[in-house]
Amino acid sequence: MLTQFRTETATTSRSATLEAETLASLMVEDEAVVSDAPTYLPEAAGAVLLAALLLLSPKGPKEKPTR
Amino acid sequence: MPTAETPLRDEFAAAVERVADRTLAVLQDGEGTAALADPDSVVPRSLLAAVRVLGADLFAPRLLTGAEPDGTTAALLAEARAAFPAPAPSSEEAALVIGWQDWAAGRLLARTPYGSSGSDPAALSGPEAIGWQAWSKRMAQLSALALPTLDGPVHDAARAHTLDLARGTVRCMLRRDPTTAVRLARWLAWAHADGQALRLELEPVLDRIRFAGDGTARSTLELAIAQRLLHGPSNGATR
Repeated sequence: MLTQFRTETATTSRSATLEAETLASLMVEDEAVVSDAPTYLPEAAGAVLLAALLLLSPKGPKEKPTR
Repeated sequence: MPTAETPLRDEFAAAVERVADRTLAVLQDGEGTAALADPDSVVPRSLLAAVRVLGADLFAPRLLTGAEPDGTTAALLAEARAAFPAPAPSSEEAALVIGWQDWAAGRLLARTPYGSSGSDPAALSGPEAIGWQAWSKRMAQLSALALPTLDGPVHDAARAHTLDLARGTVRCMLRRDPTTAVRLARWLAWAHADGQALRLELEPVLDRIRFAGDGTARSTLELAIAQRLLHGPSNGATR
């Protein structure tokens, strides 16, 4: 015997047109629109690097007090 | 084409993810093809829509192991096609794509008791007519046809234009669009399984997509199918 399923029918609030449009958009997906590579900003990287190095740099040696 | 960003789209897209994840589990882990729906319960409309969207890919785990489409999935797909007749696309081109996707699902259903007769859609233009970029985009939309035992005019075009498929794949990788890239890579893997020479080293491309892809179950399913086509059943793990 062939398998049969009981299925929901489209409700009035959810129009068949909207369902069909939604289905079409899922079946035919276009390629990604946004594809720009991140822009390289050397000056920005330099500022961040400088700040990081200043923060991370070890303090200068202190002289021990002489008697 | 405009994308309908609505709660309904979210609902259908979530259902597509669930069904794709289930198909992926069957493909990767060799789990039994547990029914997507219980014949005794009412099948939700979102599940029917998801089955309609994935179409021929539902049978990928069976086709990749040399088996024929199973009856329960075929019954569900036939119900989905009855519940959702050919949707209304926004353009003639999209209508053609859906026509060929339905052709693939119809061909597989025809091997089961749930098949119905249907005619072939109009022929697609080749890359010499519309250019390799537009052609490769369309082939990406038709990736569900890249399955073993399916053969037709679209497959003939893929066989004849593997270089254009490779160009399209590289273009998508450069555009950082792994979703489209994996669909084209799947076509290249299919052509390789069909005996065509590889025009692109696919393994690094698939590796890159695995790490940089969108991570959706639908894309992961495409990736797993591409790997199976490239290496055979012994090496299809993607996660």
